[in-house]
This record gives sequence, C-alpha cells and structure tokens, in this order.
Amino acid sequence: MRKNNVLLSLLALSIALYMSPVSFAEQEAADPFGGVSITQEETSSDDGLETNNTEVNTEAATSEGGDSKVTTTSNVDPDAKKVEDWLKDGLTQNDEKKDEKKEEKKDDDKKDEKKEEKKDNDKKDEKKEEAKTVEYTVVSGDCLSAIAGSQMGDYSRWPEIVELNKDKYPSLVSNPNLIYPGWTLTLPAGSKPQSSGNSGNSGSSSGSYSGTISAKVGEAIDSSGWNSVNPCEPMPSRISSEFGWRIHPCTGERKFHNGVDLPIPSGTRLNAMANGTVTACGFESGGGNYVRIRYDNGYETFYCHLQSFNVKVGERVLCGQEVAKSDNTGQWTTGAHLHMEVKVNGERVNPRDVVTTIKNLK
Amino acid sequence: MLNKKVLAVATGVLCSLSVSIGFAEAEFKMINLLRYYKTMYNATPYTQLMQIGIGGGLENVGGIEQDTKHLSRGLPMAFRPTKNPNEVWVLDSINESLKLFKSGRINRRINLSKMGFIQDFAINDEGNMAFLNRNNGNIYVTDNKGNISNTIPGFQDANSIEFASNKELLVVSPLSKGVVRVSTEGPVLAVYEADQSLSNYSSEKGIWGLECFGGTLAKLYVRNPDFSFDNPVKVIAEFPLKGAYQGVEYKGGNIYGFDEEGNIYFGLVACDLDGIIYRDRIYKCDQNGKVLKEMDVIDNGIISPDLPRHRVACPDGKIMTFFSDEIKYYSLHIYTLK
Repeated sequence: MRKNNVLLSLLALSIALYMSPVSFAEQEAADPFGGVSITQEETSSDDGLETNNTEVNTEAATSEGGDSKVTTTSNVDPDAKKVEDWLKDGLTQNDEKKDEKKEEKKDDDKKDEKKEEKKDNDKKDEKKEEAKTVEYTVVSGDCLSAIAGSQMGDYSRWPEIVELNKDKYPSLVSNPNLIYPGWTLTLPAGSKPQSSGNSGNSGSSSGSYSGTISAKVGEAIDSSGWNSVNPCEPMPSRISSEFGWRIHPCTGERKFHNGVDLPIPSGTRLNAMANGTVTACGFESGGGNYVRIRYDNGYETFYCHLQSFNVKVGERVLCGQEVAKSDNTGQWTTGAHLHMEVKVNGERVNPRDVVTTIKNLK
Repeated sequence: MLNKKVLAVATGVLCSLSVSIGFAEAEFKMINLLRYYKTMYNATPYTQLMQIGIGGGLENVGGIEQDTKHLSRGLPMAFRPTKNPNEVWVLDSINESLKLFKSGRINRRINLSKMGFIQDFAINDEGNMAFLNRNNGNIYVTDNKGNISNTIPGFQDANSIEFASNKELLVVSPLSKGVVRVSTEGPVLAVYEADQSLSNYSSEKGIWGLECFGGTLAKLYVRNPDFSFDNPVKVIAEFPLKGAYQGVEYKGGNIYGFDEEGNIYFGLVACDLDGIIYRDRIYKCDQNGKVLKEMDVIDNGIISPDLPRHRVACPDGKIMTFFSDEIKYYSLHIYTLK
C-alpha cells in the first residue's frame, strides 16, 4: 500500500511538473541556490521538456524571420520605378557623399601635411635638444611617475625614464617601482631641470640608504606603511630576549644578540612590515628557514627560525602581507620564537627603537 | 564503572602517545646546537684549516663595535681560497681590507677604504677583482692591487658577484629578479630572470642552478639561451630524496663552485617541519651530472644571513666553510670528500 501511495504521489508530481514548467522557472528565479540544483536535475532527467520549449522558440524565430522576408519583398514588388528612383537618388546621394569625402580627404591631406611638417620640426627640435637631456637626482619619496609628472609634465611618461636609464640601473626594467635616493636619472630632453629644493639628499652621502630615512626612526607611518602593522599576529605581550649583550640561553656564553626574540607559538603568522622586496630567503644551519625583506623606506627586517615561508627572492610584498610562519628551526633554542632583526642604513638597530608595536612590550 | 573504564582507556592512550613522542624525541641528537636525525650521527665533521683572531690589527679580522642601540657586526663577509694550498682571501669589511692569509698568517693586504662597506668580492684569472657594496649599489672593478678602474652602479641589495669570464660579471640581484650579466666596462649585457635557484656560477655549458626548495626532488640544471629561446634550461641531474620520512623535504642547497678540473660541487639540506636535519650532503659531479663523490657533513650553525656564501669549493676539490664565536676568533674549516 505504501509503495502504491509513493508511486501515485510521484506520478502526480511529475504530471504537475510537466504541466507547469514556467512556475518551475519562477521558483528557480526566486531561489537561485535551490534553483540551480533543480534545473540540473530537470535537464538531465527530463530532456523532453527542454527540447519541446526550444523547438517552439525556434519555430517562433523562423516565423519572425519569414515575416521580415515578406516585408522586404513587399517593398520591392509594388512599383519598380520607385525603386529605380530610389536607387538613382541613392546613387546621386552617394556621389555627393563621395565628393564631400574627397574634399574632406583633401582637407585631411593638408592637415596631415601640416602635421608632418610639425612633426619634422618637432624632430628637428628634439634632435637639437637631445644633447640637452636633464639629470635628476632621486630624493626620498620619489617615484618614477611623480618625476615624470613634475619634470616632464606627464605622469604617464615614466617608461621613457626607464628606457633612458635601464643600462645604468638594470633593476628599473624588472621593478620600476623601486628607485633609490641618490640615483642620478637621465630625463628626456625638454624636461624641467631639477630645482635646488628637491635635489640630492639632505646632508647624507649620495647613494646610501640614509637618504630614505629623513624622519626620526620609528616615529610615524611613512608611505611604505612602516609601523602600521605588527610583525606577527597575534603579538606576544613581552620580549623574551632583548637586543644587546646577553648570556646565550643554550651555550652559556656571553654574546651580542643582534635582534629581539618574540615568544610566539609555532605556526604564528608573520607579516611584511611595509611595502618592500624580498632580498633573501631560504635555509641556513644557524637561522633555519629565514626571510629577509628590504622595504621601500630603506629599512630591512630579518626573520629566522621559521617553520615555512611563502615568498620568493625578488618578490614584491605589501605591508601586512603574510610572508612566513614561525617555529624553532635552525640553531636550537629553548622554545619556539621569532628572532627578528632590523637594519637601518645597513646596520642592525634595536627593534624597540624602530618598531612602535615592539616598543611597548614588556 | 563506565567512567573508570573510560579513564583507563584514556590513560592508556596517553601513555602510548607519550611513549611514542619520547621515542620520536630520541631519534635526534644535538650537535653544535643543531638537531640532527639519527641517520646523520656518523656524518663527517669539518677539520680546521686556520684560526684568525678577531680585532682591528693587521693579523686579525673583524671587530665588534657594539652597544645596546647599535651594532656593526665585525665578522668577515666573504672568503675565497686561492690555487695555493692553505691560502685564503678574507674580506675584512669592517676594517676596510681584503687580506690574504696563509696558514693563519697575513701575506698581503688590499685597502678598500674608498669603497665603503663591501659585502662580496670576486677575483678573475688575471688577478683583477670586483667588489660589491650593496648599500650604495656600486660594483668596483679593480686591478690586482685594488686600484679602481671602473665603478658600475645600480646593484642595490645584490647578494653576490662572480666572474663569468675575465671581462664579465654575474650578479645575483633580487631587485632584477634573477642574475645580471654585466661587463666590467659597465654596460649590462643580459638579465636572466629566474627564481633564486639560479646561481652565478658558470661554465662553458652556461649558468648553473640548483632547484631544491621544498619537495623531495632536487634538480641540478644549466641555463643557456643557446639551448632554446622558450626553454633555455636543461636539467643535468636529479636528486630524489629516496625513502623520505613523512614531512621531510629539501629545505635548502647551494652551488659551491668548481675545482681545477671543472667538476661542480654543491650541497643539499633536507629537514622535517621542526627543522631537524635529515641530510646535509655535499656532492661532487662532473659537468654531465655524474655523481663522483658525495658525503654527509656536520655543520656548525651561525646566524649569518648577510653572507653571500657559506661554503666555497677550493681548486683542489675541498670545501671550505667558516665558523666564529663572534668574540675571539674566526676560523676557516675544510670538508674533504672521500
């Protein structure tokens, strides 16, 4: 009895489905998630419905097409003279248009000639000015598009700077975003000469990192994003080993500790401290897995004893991007931690002095 | 009763877990502050070649100027053995010198004070030299007495330099995302975009690379544009990590250079997720990739990410490495492949 009931209900349901495909489609529209699965079942299980519908539609389409053919033939058939007139009109109109076009062409040719003359003149001027390329010394905060905008009058002309300087600074080709204070760039002829206000580094040796660090160390968030993110997430509440002289926890020897140790569990997320470029990563016996990043503001961080890293040398990283996970690889220590070093001007400094989020740890 | 049974089962499980963990912990041993898996216990340790005192004197290298706010690490940045036995050039960056030591005594000194803090150097067959200052991005090309003949700018953050020929340098430059071939006269000749597996050691075959980061298969390859424009890389030899334990992968490796006969030397390191070292093996291969010798070695760990290289192949086929207590001495060590 139960089986019969079930069969009956199934039969009734299939009839209902067959009779009301539109309502089914409405359901699909109303409930897209449910609808997708239902339509899939429907198309796979009941192709007849679909094909019937499409047949009807195609028939409708062909009938419309037939109508359009009829209307076109009816326009031609009634009066052949009218058609001839219309064609003549069309031809005369075409002739007039052709004349107009010819005149336009003549005008265009004249314009082109003028343009060519102008171009020739421009080229001559350029040739004259080739010898007058402008030298520009990069200062802190510069980028190629900004230089192109301020000195060449068009932000989009920065590729010309790359082209002119790629032999001198080959890294410009692969990474035009990264330029250094102290670089002397050649700008195309016609560029504005560099004003005294933004030339060279203020009081620092040219070409060194120091030009990029004009502000006092660790005070504010700069354009690279430095000090806007934590080195690791979550951050610990204390530093387990400070920068400076210490008794090594494993050897018992007095040694200088080049960074700070943050006690964090294995697998803790480690972030890029600002926008920058990965300059080294890999494995060494002492540091285990490590990542070294050079930031756009000239700072450099070094994380080691890592479980893994997910960046490559030369890769651009963004402020806050996960670059690695912490662990206790390499030289054995008393527990999992992050050994973090920070360099400014190529020299290691106390991370407490330059990283705001570390400054206040116990 | 039921609770007691559950407790008994839980205790049993915990006991068995602790036993297995204890067993796993006993599988490795600490040597030189590094954790080695039991298969490495019989690996070959280094032998000391020479020991040099740390300090600013002529016979010393390095020197540490430190306070709690600032540190200038004094360890030499690089070393290169010469063709003469027991003779080594040591880059004493902090004392602005390149020093030639033989059996621990200084033989020669080149003044580098005009170049700033140098991170790497290279010497060609004619004795001419090149020095890399990655802070200002300059490569200084000099004669064999250290007189600067040319300065090539644009190599900020470059990691290392090597001579490809007497007139060309190969520079590992992360900012150029690969290796840059540059003439000692100045112009850049080519940029080989590649990941960090491409080294700057080259032979007639091309530039050599070692793909070994992650996974259980390392590949020694040569890159040469003459092979094919689309695929200029040819794999010379593969090194599968056979019988690898679960989670053990190649974590690092480097090419160490060539000996006088042109054989290539390189190393591969395999670790598990905890950093326990399962393999630290040095290979000697001919240029066709045939393994001539291989040996597991014990290292002495030191955190030194700034150094361009930690091991260098000597012309006589030995591998030179270094260690320092960072206070009293800097010593150069040798691995001899058997």
